[in-house]
Amino acid sequence: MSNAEGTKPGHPGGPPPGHEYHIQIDRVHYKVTDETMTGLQLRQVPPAQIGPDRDLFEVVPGGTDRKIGDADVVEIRDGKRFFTAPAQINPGK
Amino acid sequence: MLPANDATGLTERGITYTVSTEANMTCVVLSGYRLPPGYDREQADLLLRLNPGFPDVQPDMWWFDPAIRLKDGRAVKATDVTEHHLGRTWQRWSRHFDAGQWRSGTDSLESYLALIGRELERCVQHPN
Repeated sequence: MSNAEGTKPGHPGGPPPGHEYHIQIDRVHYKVTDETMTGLQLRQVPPAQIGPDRDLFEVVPGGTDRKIGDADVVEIRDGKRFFTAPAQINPGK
Repeated sequence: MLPANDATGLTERGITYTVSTEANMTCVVLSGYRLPPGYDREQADLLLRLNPGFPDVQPDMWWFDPAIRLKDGRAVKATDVTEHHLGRTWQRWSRHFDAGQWRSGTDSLESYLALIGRELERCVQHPN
């Protein structure tokens, strides 16, 4: 039985419980097991957690990168890519 | 030349861009960069000028042609200087990082573009 995209772990046809999803944050590969994660949870994936001085974004192929707030929920799929960016820059003269 | 990850990232997002060199700087022009709501136009060309050491060396400032203002006519802070690059006149957005903000080995063109987008949104609410 193949895994249909969008099906849930433990559901018929979906990945089994404990399935590992391969994602990238700042081009570093990580494995996670949750089918959905909040921005806060994603910030805690790298060994050095992502601090508030950095914004977190999801790459949207062909579209505009999506800023992920701490409470925003993201559906996790294999190959999803996230990156961080400085949260602010200072106006000069 | 643009780092491979940056070139791939721009293509991945469907962004039309050109790369050239001027005064030892790598100049990346994003054609028809879409501005967030609140500005006097929907798009403008965005120029990034990257030091040869980029991405280990942080970028500094960015430029728009044509110049942009808020929809109500107000100017945004630190955008009143014009400069000539690539045979065109550009509005300089004077913006600078604090020491340590730019992370060598992590930051790249995609993070800089994300920051520019955030700063453009912020300036609609706080132009001065």
